[in-house]
Amino acid sequence: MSILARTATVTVVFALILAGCHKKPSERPAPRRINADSLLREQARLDSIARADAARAAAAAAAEAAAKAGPPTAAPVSQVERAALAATIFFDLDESALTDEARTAVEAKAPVLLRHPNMRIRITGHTDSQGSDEYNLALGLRRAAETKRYLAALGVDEARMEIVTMGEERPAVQGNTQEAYALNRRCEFEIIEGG
Amino acid sequence: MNLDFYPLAACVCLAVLVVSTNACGQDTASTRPGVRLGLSYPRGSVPRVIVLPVDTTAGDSVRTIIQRDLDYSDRVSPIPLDPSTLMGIAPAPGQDPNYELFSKLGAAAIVQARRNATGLRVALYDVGAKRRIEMRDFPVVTVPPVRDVAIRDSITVEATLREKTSRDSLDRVLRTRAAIMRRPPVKKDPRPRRFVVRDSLRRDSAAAAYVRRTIGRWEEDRRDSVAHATETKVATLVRADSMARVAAADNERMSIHHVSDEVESWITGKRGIAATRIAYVHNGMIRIVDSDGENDRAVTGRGTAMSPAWHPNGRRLVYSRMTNVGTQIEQLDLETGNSRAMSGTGLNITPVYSADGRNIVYSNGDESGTDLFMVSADGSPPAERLTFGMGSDNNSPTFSPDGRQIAFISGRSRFPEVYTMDADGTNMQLLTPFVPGVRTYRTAPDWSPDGRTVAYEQQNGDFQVWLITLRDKESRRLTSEGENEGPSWAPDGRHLALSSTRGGSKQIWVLDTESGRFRQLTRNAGARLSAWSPMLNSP
Repeated sequence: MSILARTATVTVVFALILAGCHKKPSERPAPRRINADSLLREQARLDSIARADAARAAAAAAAEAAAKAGPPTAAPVSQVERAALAATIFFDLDESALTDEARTAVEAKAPVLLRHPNMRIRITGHTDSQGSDEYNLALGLRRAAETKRYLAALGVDEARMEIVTMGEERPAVQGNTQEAYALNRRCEFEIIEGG
Repeated sequence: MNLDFYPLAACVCLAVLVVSTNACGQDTASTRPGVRLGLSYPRGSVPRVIVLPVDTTAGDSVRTIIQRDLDYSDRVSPIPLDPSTLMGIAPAPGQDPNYELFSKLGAAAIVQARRNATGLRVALYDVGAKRRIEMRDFPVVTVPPVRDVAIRDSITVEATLREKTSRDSLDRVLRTRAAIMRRPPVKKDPRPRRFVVRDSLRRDSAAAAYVRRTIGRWEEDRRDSVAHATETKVATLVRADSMARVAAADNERMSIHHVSDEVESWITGKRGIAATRIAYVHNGMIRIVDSDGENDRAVTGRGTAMSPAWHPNGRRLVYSRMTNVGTQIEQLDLETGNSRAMSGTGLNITPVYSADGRNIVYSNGDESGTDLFMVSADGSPPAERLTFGMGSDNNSPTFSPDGRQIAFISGRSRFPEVYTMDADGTNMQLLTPFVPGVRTYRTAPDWSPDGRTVAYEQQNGDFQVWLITLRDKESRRLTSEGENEGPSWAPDGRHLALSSTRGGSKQIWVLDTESGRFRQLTRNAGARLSAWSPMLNSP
């Protein structure tokens, strides 16, 4: 391979990496920049994918082991498991994509669900009070659906997850501050069976 | 007082203006029979009108309602003069008003309404042309007087009479029995006469005691139950009577709003929108309020109801109701108060009636986004799918007035924008200006009744209401103070109801898109999601 071709390949790969550096959406649209932050964020995203893969592999192994061990026993759900499952996840403004923190939180939920195969949960999507109340109902549903999809990708059976949206109708925190908005853009998890 | 002097000075100035500009009004000399000429006033100006006192009844009189309706129309400007001042100069029936005097007061027109046997006789005088332009009789529902005392009296009298009748018949029976008790033994009594007399006296007193005792016991038994029955009956009748009075008052107001709208069309050539109502959401309930802010009441029970929309006939609403497991579409018949849920699972939101009222278009959401569907208003399946959003949100439909097109929100280009499409779901086009990569947020579209513009809300830091024309896609911002959301057109295509925080709390306000004037419609903090009714029929 000529030096020219190699240089071209490297350039293309680098360009692809740059293109992959998707800027995390913020409150105000800012000009697109490539900086250390976005590289770090990309690294975090890749790490999170790797973590998710590891979690899925571990979960699959656990499930296999459980299958070998015999029929699932209704093991009591521990306080730690319950807390992991109930932990609320948060979203960015007008976004249904999971943030890294949200991914980590969801990854902690998957093993619990896999350990208790009779458990069914309800994922409720919520939004902040900004914007159209009606559009927010749809946004809440997208958030819940996105969360469900990620849990399904981690090996949880889709039939065990129910999704609902409350839009901006059930705020966790009252008020019109950015802090309140951030706390209200969320998905909540609730055990509806087998827990 | 200065306060009194000010409007008068303004009136005089205006009077001069009106008199001097009369020449450019209509040529009133060439009045031909059968041709009605409108009011002569400079085109483009807002004619000033004096509404004469109707009667001396206190409270929200007919005059107040008409005057306020004309004011809220923003096409006519009533001159608020003290009724007692006007009483002296109001023309007697059959007489012409003193045009010079009214002209000096600044009026271009005079509205006079008088009560007659069936309602109101309303006349409109053109001050500049010195003639009566219109006169018509309007039926007005009258509110019956309070009858609580009369009801109680009649029920009490009725109960007393009934009790007396039963007591009399019981008394007759008892008397017969007493007579039997008093009868001497059939066998002849061999004892001396004084024993016979004593026994006879004993029998008499025993019989009398028996009658007294039985009647007394009967009265004792009846007293409480009769009182209770009377009270129940009185309460029921009084409640029915008061409900009838409320309904009549409601209809009376509506029939006066119809008068205002007609008077407005005499003056400006365009019918007003006083005879309309606005539905909105407060505290999870759908409420309805008259266009002048009066008569505000809830029409659904507790829960989380959202997104009311009117049937084109003004007698039905469709809305969504949220529960812990999903959101359903419900229809409410405003005349009977009955509501009917339409079947469906998952998320069903933002319903509207089609322009002919036969179908409902709404948004159904599941894990693969929300899309628009059309279903027959009688609820018969199947629903026809109109949009294929591929995982995006597609909601908040609004029909063009001819019913051929639908504007709606879609997030298919990542951020919510207003799109239009044909009513069958074809020919979809982006309406609002979209720049790829720039975060935008446009929702809650409402197609204007003249078909030319769509009002919507847009985020510019905070949320504000904008208009965009369909022909050249030019957009214009309408609001800036506070946050303003969820615009809904009045049937005149000029006024918008919207929720605004300009007064501190979130309330429904009415915006005149031509003059920019705002007025607060509701007094319920947190009011939102307003929907303006079509023109409502006379009660």
